[in-house]
Amino acid sequence: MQRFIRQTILPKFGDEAQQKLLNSKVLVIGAGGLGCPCLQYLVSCGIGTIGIVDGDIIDISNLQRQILFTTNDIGENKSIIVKEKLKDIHPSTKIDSFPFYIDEKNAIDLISKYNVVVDCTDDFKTRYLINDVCAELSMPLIFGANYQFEGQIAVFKMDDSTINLRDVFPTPPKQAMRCEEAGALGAVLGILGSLQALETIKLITEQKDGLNNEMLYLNLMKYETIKIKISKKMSDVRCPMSGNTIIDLNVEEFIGKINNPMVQLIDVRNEIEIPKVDFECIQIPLPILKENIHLINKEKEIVLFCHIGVRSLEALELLQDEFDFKHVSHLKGGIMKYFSMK
Amino acid sequence: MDNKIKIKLFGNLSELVNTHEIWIDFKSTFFELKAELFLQFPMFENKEFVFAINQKITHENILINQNAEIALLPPFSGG
Repeated sequence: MQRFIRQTILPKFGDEAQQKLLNSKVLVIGAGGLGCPCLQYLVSCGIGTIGIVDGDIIDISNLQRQILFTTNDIGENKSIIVKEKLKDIHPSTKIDSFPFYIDEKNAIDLISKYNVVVDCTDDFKTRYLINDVCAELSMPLIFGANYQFEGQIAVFKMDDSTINLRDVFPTPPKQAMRCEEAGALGAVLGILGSLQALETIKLITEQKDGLNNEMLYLNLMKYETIKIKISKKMSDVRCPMSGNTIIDLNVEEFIGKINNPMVQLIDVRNEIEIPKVDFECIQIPLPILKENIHLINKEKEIVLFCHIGVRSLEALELLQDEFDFKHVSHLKGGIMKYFSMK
Repeated sequence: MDNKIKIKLFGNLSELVNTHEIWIDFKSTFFELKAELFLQFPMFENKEFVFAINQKITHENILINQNAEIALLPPFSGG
């Protein structure tokens, strides 16, 4: 393995670690400012299979920071161009490009084919979807995010504790600015994306000093860092920021709510979705929940559920924040969890 | 500084006050300290962030030592 000799001679590395990299399958979601540098290092170091998910088209304003793209690539899909640029670095690395966005329908399918997920996306909705699916599938997640000259890097091992992003920030924040408004510098994103690649390598090669259910904050202007140990939050008080209480029900608790006359169960999936449920409930799909709020009996305790627990959480926030519902909870893990445990 | 405690700021919080660290009057419990922070820096009150005390995210009303490392950590989403 002459190709990898400079890394295999590293202490705590060797051929054994290299073999782990060659056997690993990593899914990188987002091929932008974080994804470009991260992907370059992941391919170069010899990861066996790399998936790249990005439905976005290369724009001229991306080029100052998304360093795999050139002026000639403008208008092309990011995941396809990244594959094109990286395929000759280590030809044995299998690169799968997925030229579409990850969403609730494809997330489980995409993620379950890999061993590690790297979140290089740039919006909270997608980040929480990735987080929730990874937590559900016990899939290790390397999180990275940027704000101006600062960054956050976290490794959620998704071991027995399933510590995840929601244990730091329980619900998707509403205020954070995207890079269109906040600004972003390629050199900063390069460092953060490289750190995500580094933590991925540490995780796969089982280095004991990698981030371990920890989040690193870096201010790259002042060179100030802080490393936070994340612990499991109490499941019944999850929203300190808005003052509301979010209640996750596990399957056992959920079953206890079925056929209870004081409880209204609401399926927020679309009508065509399967599996159909085997208990009494009403169905109000999330997209039309607002218009149909009158169908919900405010006197009763409300229990929401969906496919995997992402939309029901969104519905719960809507009921609490906009309609001032007090007694509302949702089924964590969704109906898939219900049917797998029942 | 006598009877003051330092709080490190990250993300958009430091922009609000144009500095990466602030000093507030020391209080020996977390809830009192939080109240003191919002009294002195009301612009933080409706912002989204968590408190890290000695590298641990803190929600409960714990006792605080004057040497504690305190940081306000907002969520980032850029990529």
